[in-house]
Amino acid sequence: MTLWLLGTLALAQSVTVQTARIDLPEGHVLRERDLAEVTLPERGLPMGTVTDATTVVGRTVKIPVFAGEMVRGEYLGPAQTVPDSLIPEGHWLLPADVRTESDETDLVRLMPGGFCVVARSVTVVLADAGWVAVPTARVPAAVASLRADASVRRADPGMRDCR
Amino acid sequence: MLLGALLGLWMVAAPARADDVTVAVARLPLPAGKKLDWDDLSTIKLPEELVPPTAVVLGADLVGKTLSMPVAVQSPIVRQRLVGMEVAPAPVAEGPAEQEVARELGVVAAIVQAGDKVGFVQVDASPACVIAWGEVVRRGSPATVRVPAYVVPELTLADDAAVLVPGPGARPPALPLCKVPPPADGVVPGEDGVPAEGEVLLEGDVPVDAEVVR
Repeated sequence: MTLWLLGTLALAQSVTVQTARIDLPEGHVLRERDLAEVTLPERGLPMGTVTDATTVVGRTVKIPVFAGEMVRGEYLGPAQTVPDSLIPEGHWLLPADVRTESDETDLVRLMPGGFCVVARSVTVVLADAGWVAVPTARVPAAVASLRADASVRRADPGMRDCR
Repeated sequence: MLLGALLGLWMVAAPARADDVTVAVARLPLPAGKKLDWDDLSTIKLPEELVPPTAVVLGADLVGKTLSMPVAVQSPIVRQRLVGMEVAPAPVAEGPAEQEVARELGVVAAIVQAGDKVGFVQVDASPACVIAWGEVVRRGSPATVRVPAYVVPELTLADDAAVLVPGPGARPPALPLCKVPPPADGVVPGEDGVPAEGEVLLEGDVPVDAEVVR
């Protein structure tokens, strides 16, 4: 009876294997969304497969992994910062004229009647190259101002929003 | 006693599932440059979901081939890891044909990775509009981006288009698509999830999930 129970448990136990959702080239820093999970019985598990995504997220791809392949530790190098983690959640990165070193910045535009705010609380991601992160809702307005006289700086208190 | 032994054996044996596939795998870790012979291979049963679409499942089709990159032990061997084995383009399911284009992304190339969605915006249009939404296939200078084939001529001309890159969890912004000539493949924008010209792109509308055509 005990053996029967153990056998049933052995059959019922399953594990999750991490596979590549897309082709992952050399140098790619793994993110959770690059992985697809496949569940299979533990006893059918090929040796060396990665079961826990958290153990590989952030690691660099050393040897390319192709869509549908099991992610293997042998194909991975050391951990790195995931590049898009530089962009705040729910924001879009776009080019802009950055004229401030402050962390608290806004995208402002010079209109005939004076300055107005295109997007408040933008995040400077690459100051020298002029790339800022803008909340999704303000992307259309920010894009519309890209060729206008707009720049990233601290808005003065009371500055009105652009229409 | 006999029953116990049988049950013990049952426990040890790997239970096969109805949809398991017998597939050739590397019997040991194999280095790049290795010319495969039968001693390098074994077979295992794997759930179909664990067999990559480009795996060469028969040992007979692998023997004599040379590896272009290493293969981990007990891994199916995909065509991309073999010298001289072309990967056939995936069939186009629905939506417009897609094409991979080389594109300089400037410093932002350091931030994007394969799988990232990017937008190319015509900022000198009035109003500013999106020429194409695409998916990064390979980073680098230039990066390789997969876009709907019918926007490639416009995108090629617009080498000064601004690039939009989403952060984690960012929804597509409400930006209009630029006017583009009708696609030659007969798939009309506005069908199959592709926004029509002037249509505002809303959440879930980014047309990047169609199959690849090289």
